[in-house]
Amino acid sequence: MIAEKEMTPLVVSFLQDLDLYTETEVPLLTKRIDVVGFGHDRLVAVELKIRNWQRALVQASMYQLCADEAYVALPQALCMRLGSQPFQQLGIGVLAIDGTTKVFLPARRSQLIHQSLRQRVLRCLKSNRCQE
Amino acid sequence: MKLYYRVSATTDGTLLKGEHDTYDGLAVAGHVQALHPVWTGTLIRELNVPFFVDPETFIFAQDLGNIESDGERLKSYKALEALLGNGVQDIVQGRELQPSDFVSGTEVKEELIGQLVEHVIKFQMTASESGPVQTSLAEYSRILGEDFPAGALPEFIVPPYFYFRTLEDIWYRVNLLLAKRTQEMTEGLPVYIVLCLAKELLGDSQALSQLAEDISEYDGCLLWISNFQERSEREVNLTRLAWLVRDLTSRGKPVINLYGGSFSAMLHIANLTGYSRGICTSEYRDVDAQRGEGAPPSRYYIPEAHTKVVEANARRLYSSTDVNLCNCPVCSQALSDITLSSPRPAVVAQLFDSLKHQGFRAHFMHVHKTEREQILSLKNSQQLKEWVSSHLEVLSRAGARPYVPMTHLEMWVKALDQFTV
Repeated sequence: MIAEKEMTPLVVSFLQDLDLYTETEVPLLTKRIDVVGFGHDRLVAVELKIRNWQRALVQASMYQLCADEAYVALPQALCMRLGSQPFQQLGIGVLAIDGTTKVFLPARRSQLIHQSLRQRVLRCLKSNRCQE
Repeated sequence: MKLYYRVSATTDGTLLKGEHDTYDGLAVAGHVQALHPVWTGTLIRELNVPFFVDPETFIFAQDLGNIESDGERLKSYKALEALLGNGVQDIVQGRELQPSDFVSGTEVKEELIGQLVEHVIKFQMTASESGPVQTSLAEYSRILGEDFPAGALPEFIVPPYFYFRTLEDIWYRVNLLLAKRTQEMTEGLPVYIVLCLAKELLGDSQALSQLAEDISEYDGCLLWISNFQERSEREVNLTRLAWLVRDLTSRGKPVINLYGGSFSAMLHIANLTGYSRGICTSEYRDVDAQRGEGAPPSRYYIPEAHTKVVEANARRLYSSTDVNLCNCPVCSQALSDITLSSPRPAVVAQLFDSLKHQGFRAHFMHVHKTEREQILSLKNSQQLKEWVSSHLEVLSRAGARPYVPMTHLEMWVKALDQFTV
């Protein structure tokens, strides 16, 4: 079974392959987004989880307040077991991790964006001070 | 049913003044009064509402690491220990208080008990006098034989108290001794004994009867069940709390829950007299909680859920469900500047952007006032149960569960079902 911290570099390189800059642990109000990809007017937020997919789903749904696309990244075996239905309803995408990262379910573009939160996240990303 | 807001930070002052009609009184935390005596005294006089002072003596018998930061004792608790008299101060500078400091076998350490009680009474009696001008006015009033202005004294005196796990716990005996001595040394003012107890005691009906018996000789009681969280207790404990309140009030003495929320308000059906809490914070407290001196984080109170959530959850809830936006004066004012025909997420974003931290707290004060009024208009557990159920239904229908905790509402319904009056 893959560990959560082993998932991070896999998701980061996946986002970088999409020509996005990446940052980890990006603050969103009192929460922190595990991985963010940004660039070309696109902001993608990813929540990583090994097991607790329900919690990941709720967390990722918060990311829809600031990101164009919100994903949960789960081990591929778990994705296969769950199917896409639990995520589809909220428009959350799923990344399946198994040595590499694949899109198991594409995210719908968020219709819930709060511009002030999006700007705050972008400011943080641009200032390179998200880890503080 | 009285609501006392707990004054635990100087940032509370503006809200307590501005939203003066949303509560009944103040519960002043001893460490705040100790660190900011002038501010506290001025606030009490300006607000002119009933108040009491929580001397928080228990904290010096718990792990002293709870009141330290980076190995240093927090300033406010250092100030508090200095108000408890040399005897206690000398001990707590080196270690936690122990029951044997007060009793040893049949021997009662009268001197330390007397000194602690005297100091604790004094700092409560002078809570509103603090500050050079007011102290001299009070002094002049005494010299002239005149009464100091009404409202300047606490509503009741709180004896020093400590946390106990069972009635056999020596701390319980010490508490009774301290309360008795307080009663002897306090002239004219009521004395409310504090029952600061472990949750496990709720299951011991014999012990609870004894508690009811023991408190009957005092004018009232402050009840604090450590770490009793209305939001996460199972129905059995919620019901036990209701029965305990019922037992404690059975002799006609007032009982105030020192930390409580909406469920405590519902216990008016068990004759609970009041409860205290912070402004959108401190509905419960663990005696062993690590203390800090910073401001609590922003939380938004969801009226239908009778609980608060972090800002992101509140924004998400209102952006994607049809749960009504709040119509309290604070939220209504904020919404009046917003184009309501905009898409819902844009309206919600602007609402939350404009409320900010103090707005969240003012919103809470208004919503909590309204919900208390509604609760008090419901006369029995059946009516309360239907009221809670209706809110549960609204939230469930809207698909709010991922963003707002709702299990507590189900527990409250079950508890109310079992506590039938």
